[in-house]
Amino acid sequence: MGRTYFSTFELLLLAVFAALVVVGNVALRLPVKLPGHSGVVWMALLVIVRGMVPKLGAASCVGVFSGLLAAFVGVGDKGGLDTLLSYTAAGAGVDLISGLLPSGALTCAVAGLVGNLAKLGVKVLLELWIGIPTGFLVVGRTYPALTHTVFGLAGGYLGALVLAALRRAGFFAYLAARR
Amino acid sequence: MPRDGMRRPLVVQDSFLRQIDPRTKIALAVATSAAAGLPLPSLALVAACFVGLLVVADVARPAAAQLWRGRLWFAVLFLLDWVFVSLAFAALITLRLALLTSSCILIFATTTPDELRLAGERLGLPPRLAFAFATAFGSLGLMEREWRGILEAQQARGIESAPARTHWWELRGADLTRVAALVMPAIVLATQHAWAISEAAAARGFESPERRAYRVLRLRPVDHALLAATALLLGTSFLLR
Repeated sequence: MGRTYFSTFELLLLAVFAALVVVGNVALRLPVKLPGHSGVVWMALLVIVRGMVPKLGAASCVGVFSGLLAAFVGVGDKGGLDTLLSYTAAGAGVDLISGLLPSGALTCAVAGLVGNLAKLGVKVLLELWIGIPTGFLVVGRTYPALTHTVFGLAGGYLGALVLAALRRAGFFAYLAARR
Repeated sequence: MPRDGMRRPLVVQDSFLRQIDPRTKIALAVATSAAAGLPLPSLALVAACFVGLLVVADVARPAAAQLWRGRLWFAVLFLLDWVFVSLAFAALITLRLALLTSSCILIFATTTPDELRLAGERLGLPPRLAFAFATAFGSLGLMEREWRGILEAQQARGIESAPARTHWWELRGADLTRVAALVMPAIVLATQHAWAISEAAAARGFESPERRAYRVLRLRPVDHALLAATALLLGTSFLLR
């Protein structure tokens, strides 16, 4: 059998993380009543999984899986398509930045920022596609864009902190033994 | 969506769409979403047919529940469009949004994750990816219990949840630390869970080149009829625009 891009363990790890993302978005909410605040835990998990499985496509894979799961359990008030695309875009955003920039806390924070903004970007693109006037979108989405930026950065940075703590605790050596 | 618990997926067992191949339902949902780009007269025709399908398939209730969740957004957008543009434009945008919001209910209210996995395999998805998706779905309940267990353990040790914040500048570093304390054990548990499943799968010959699927989906005449009707309706709508 030819060598595969993701090992079975890595794929299952991505799958379990996808479940963690959905559960985190539903069960673990910061007591903050602001748009995009779910991005703190969400982006942290995406950044962490990209650090644990350092291959291009890992976060995107988690994005697609978690989008499908979220659509199944009925997360989101704008339907399955919006949910699937926004979760996927968040994963792809984190993947893109993690693949382009050298690893580090700043990269993690930027990856979180781009991931959270990509999630919002998908909503804006869908709204543009159905013909909502651009002026309405500029007015209606400016404040959410600001809060998504803040929470995305915070989530990415949180991911970097957790990755550093996991590295200090020897978790990556434990993980390497299982690959 | 209750904040204190995970919504369980509710598959409408009585729906005739349960007998339809998931690939046909995916095609139906994609076609309905694509129709959201049509002008008002054609869009109204597609929307009427879609509502008819929802009623016949007994999934009108979950679709209505989905739309109800976004009622505030719909109402504000409708009023803004009406006041600043026109009533016809407000109707067009609201109808497009409603169609886009409810189109995927055809799949998610009538298909089990296992059926979607089989459809994925038939659509060319590698079996390992399809298996990983099924694992993700199966892990939802476990991960939820683990989150709750960690939360309860932390509360028992005196780590309180963060106070409510209404502005982003009220966020403190301590809020992030609380979340980090919650995420760390969840990651370790998730990794152990993934390792246990991969070991169990390997022990059962999951990666064997001789592996064969236990069930293969096939399109039936009713699937072909539904696909043809959808293509006809969508083609006519786009020609009439």
